[in-house]
Amino acid sequence: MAILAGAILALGIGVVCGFVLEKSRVCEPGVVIGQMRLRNLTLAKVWFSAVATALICVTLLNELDLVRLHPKPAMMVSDMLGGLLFGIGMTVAGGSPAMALAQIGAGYRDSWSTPLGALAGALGFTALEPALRPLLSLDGPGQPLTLVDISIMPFPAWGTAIGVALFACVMTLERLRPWRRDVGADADGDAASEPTHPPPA
Amino acid sequence: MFKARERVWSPYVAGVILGLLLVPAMVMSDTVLDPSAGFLAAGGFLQGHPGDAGDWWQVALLVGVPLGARLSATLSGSVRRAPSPVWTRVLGTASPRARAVAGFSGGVLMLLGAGLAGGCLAGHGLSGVAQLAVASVVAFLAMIVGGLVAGQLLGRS
Repeated sequence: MAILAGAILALGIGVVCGFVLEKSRVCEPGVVIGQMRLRNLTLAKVWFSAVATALICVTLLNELDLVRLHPKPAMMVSDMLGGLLFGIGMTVAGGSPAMALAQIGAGYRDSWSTPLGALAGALGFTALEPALRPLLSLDGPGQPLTLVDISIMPFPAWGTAIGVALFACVMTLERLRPWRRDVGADADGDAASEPTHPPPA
Repeated sequence: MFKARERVWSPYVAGVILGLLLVPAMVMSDTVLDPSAGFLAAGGFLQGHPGDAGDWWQVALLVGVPLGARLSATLSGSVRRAPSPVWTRVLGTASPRARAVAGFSGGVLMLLGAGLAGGCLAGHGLSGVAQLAVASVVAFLAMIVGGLVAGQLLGRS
C-alpha cells in the first residue's frame, strides 16, 4: 500500500480507536486503576470483547488467505519481564501510552507526563539494548511461535475456542457486575466522584 | 448505545469496534496495532535512526488517537477538566508534581517493558493474542499480573 495511503489509514484507525476509548471510558485513569484494583471491570470487558472479536476475524481471514500472520518471536524471560514492567507502569500511569493520548484528547492535560515518560523510556531502551541483549537472548534467539505450532489443534479450533471462551467470560463479568455500575456517577470510573452531569442514560 | 453524542457506550460495543480495527490494518497494510512501536520509532528518530514505513504507520496511529478522543468528548459535551479525581485519592495528594511523577515514571516503565517484550497492550494483548502468538499470550498474562500487583500496592482509591 502506498505510504501516504497507509498513513491516512493508520490515522483513521487511530481516530476511531481514540473515539471508542473515550466513549467506553477505558481512557479514564479511574477505570484503569480501578480495574487493577478489581473495583472496576470495564477495561476487562472492553479488552476481552476486543480480543475475542479480533481473534474470530483473524481466524476467518487466515482461512480465506487474506492476511499474513506476524507472531512475535517467543523469548519467555524477556516476554514475562517486559510484560510485568508494562503492567506495573500502566497502573502507575493510569493507562497505556495510547490511552494516555486519548486522555489528553479528552481534556486531561495532566496526562502529558505519560507519553513524555514513554518517549524517555523508548530512548532509554534503545540506549540500553546492547547491554540488555544478553538478557533478551537468555532463552535463545526466539522463534515466531503460535499455539498451533505447540499443539495438535489447528488455528480455526484455537481461534473459535478462545473467542467463545472470552465472550462467555465477559457475559459472566456482566452478570456479576453490570457495566453501568462501573462508569461512576460522573462517568469517570471513580465511584466516589461528585456528579457534575446527569447519570448516563 | 451507538449515538456519537452519548457520553458512554457499552464496553462490549466498544470492544467489538476495537477488535474490528485490526482487520483493515492486517488486510490493507499488512501490519498490526502496536502503539509502542510508534514510540520506539519516535525515540529512534531522535537518535538519528529514520525508521521504516511500518514504524511510521504506528506513529500515524498514535496521532489519530487524541483526535478521536477529542471528537468523541466534544460531541457528547464531556471534555474533561484535569486532573481526574482518582489521582488525589490514589496518590494521597493533589500535587501536580506527584501526578506528573506518576505519569512519567509509568510511561518509562511501560516503554522499557514494551521494548523487552517486543510489544505493548495492543501489540501483544490484542494483535498478538489474536494471532495466537505464544509470546503475546505470555506477555499479556504478565501485564495482567504486573498491573494487578501494582494495583494492590498503589494505595487506596
